[in-house]
Amino acid sequence: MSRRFFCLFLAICCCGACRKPSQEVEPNDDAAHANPLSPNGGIEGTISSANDEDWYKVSIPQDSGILNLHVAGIKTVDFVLSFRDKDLRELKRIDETGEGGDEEALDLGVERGDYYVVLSNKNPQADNPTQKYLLTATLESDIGREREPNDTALTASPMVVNGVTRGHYYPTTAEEDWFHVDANEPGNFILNLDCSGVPGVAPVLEVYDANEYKLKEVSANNGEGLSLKDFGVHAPQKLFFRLHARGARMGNPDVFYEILTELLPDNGTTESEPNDQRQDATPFARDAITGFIAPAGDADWFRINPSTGTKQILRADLSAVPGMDLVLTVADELGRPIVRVDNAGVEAPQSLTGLGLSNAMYYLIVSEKTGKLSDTRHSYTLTKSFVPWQPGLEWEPNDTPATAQTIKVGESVDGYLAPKGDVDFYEFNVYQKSSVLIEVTGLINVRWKAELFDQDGRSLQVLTAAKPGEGISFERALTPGTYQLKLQGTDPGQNNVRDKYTLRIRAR
Amino acid sequence: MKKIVLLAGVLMFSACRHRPLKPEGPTANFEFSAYEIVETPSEDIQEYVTVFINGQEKGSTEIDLKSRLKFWRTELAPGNYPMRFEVWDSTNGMTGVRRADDFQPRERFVRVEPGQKTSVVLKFYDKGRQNFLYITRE
Repeated sequence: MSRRFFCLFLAICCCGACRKPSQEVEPNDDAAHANPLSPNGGIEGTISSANDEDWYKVSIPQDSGILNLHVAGIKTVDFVLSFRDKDLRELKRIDETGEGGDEEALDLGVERGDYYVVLSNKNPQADNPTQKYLLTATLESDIGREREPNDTALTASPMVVNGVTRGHYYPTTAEEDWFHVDANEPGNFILNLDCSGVPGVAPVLEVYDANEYKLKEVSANNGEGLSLKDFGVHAPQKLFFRLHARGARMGNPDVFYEILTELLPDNGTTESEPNDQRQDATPFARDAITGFIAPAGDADWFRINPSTGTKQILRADLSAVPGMDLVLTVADELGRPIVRVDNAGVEAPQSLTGLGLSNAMYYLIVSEKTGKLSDTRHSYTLTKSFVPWQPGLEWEPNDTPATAQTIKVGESVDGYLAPKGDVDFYEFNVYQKSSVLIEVTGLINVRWKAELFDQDGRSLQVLTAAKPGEGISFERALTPGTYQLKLQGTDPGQNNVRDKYTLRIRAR
Repeated sequence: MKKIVLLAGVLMFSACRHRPLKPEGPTANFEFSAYEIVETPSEDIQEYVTVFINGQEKGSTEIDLKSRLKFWRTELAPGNYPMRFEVWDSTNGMTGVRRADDFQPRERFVRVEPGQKTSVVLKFYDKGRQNFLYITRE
C-alpha cells in the first residue's frame, strides 16, 4: 500500500518537474526580440534595471479563447502589465498594485495568432536585478465568457441569451464591461437578467439601445447581485449592457460575476420595461398584467384603451408585495393624475372601485410609496375590468361641485366611498315645491357626513350618522331649483372598497 | 334650367340643416356664452350651442370655432329657470351633429335676479368630454 503512494508521489514530482517554467533570454526589450510564452505555461525573468522592459510573444493555437496572465511581484519593482495585439496596439493595461505587488490580466479575448505581453516597471528606484519574477498564462474556452477589452459599446462582448455569461470586475481602474444582445427574430420579447453578487463590488447595470440612449439602470449594494426584470425587447433590436462597479477602486479578480438571462415571448401578461414614463407605457390589453418594482423609485406605466365611445367604468385591483406599500394612480391621456389609490398600508392590496372613463386613452401607474424600495423576487399583479356605465351607477370622479353626478328625484345611485379621502357630490333638480327624502345606506367603516347645498352653493343642512356603519336619512321641503348633496366620511381615512352604498332621493 | 334646379336643391338642403336661431337684442339681461379648450388647431372646428329654457328651445349661439366665445342673449323675467344647453359639432365641414348625450351638460336651474344681468359661461374641456358652468351676476 505504501509503495503505491510512493509511486504516485514520484509521478506527481516528475510531472511538476516537467512543467518547470522556461527562462527569459535577454535581450527581449522589443517585439522583434520577444521571448515565446506558452499560452498555458510560465516564464521566469528578471527586471535588470528600472527601465527594463520584457517582451513576450503568446501564440494562440485555437480559433478563439480567453487568456489570463499573472505575474508574481518582486521586491522594489512596481509592475505594469501590457497586453498587445500582433500590430503592437495595446489592448489592455494593468497597473493595479504598487511595489512588490502581483499584476494579473483576466478574461482577455484572443483569436488564433500572435499577441504580445510587455512587462515593465514603474518605480524609478527599483533595484532588484537578481530576484526572478514568474509570469504565467492560461488559455481557456471563451464560451459564456466576457472578452476583454470590452470597455466600450463598439467592443462589447456577446451576452449569452438563455444562458450564463461570466466575467470579472477587474481591473478596478476605468473598468467597465460592455455586452450586447442581438434579438434578430422579429417579435416582442421579455428579457429577464440576473447578475450574481461579488464580494466588494456594488454593481451597476445600464441598458442602452443601438443609438446608445440609456434605457434603464439598475444597481445593488456592495456584494449583492442585481436583476433586470421584464425588459421589453422589440426585435429586431440590438441592446447594449454596461456593467461596472459603482465605486472607484472596486473590483474583485478572484470571484466571477455570472449573468443569467432568459428571453421569453411577450404575451402581454408582463410589463415591458422601460415603462417609466407615459411615452413608454406598456399596453395593457388583457385582464391582468404582472410587474416588478425595481429599481427603487420605479414607476410602471400601463396604457389602457377603453374600446368604445360609450361611458365605461374602470375597476382595477393591485396585489400586495412583501414589505411594500404600493400606490395605484390613474392618469389621463396627457399623463395628468385623475385619481390616486392609496387605501391601505404596507403589504395590503389596493382597489380602484370605479372610475368613469370615456373614449380616450388612460394610464395606470404602479409605484411604491417611499420610492426607496425595490424587489426583483416578488412581482405584483394588476387586474382591470371595464363595466359599461348605466344609470344607477356612480360616475367617478364626482369629487367636486363642478363634477357632481346628476341624479333625478325618484331614482337611486350605487356608489363606493373609496379610495381614501373620497368625496361624492350628487346634483338633482326639483321642479315643483315638494318635500324631498334623502336616504343613504350604511357602510362598514364609514361614519357618514352629508351636506345639502342650494344652487348658489349655500349650505342648507348638515347631517352626521350616529356611528360608523349606520345610514342616514333626512327629509326637507325644497323649492324648485338645483341642489347638491355632498357625501363623505367624518374622517378622510374612512373608506370601503368592498361594499357599495345606495343613495336614494324621493319626493313626497 | 339646370342652374335653377341646382339652386333649388341648395336652398332645400340649407333649409333642412339645423340652423341656429339668431341671438337676441341689446336689452338682454341674460347672456349665455360657450367655448371649448382645444389642444391642437385641428381640433378647433366649428360648433354652436342651443339653449333650452323650461324645456323649450329658445335659441342658439352663433356658429364659430370651438375655442372662440359664442354668445346668445335674451331678456328674461326674474325667476329661477331650468336650463339645458345642447352642443352641436361641425364635422367634416358640416354643422349640426349633436354631441352624444354622455357629453352634454346637465340641466340645472339658473336664477335671474331683478335689475341684474345674469351671465352663464359654459366651458368644455378634456376633448369635450367634460364641462363646467360659471354663473355670474352684475
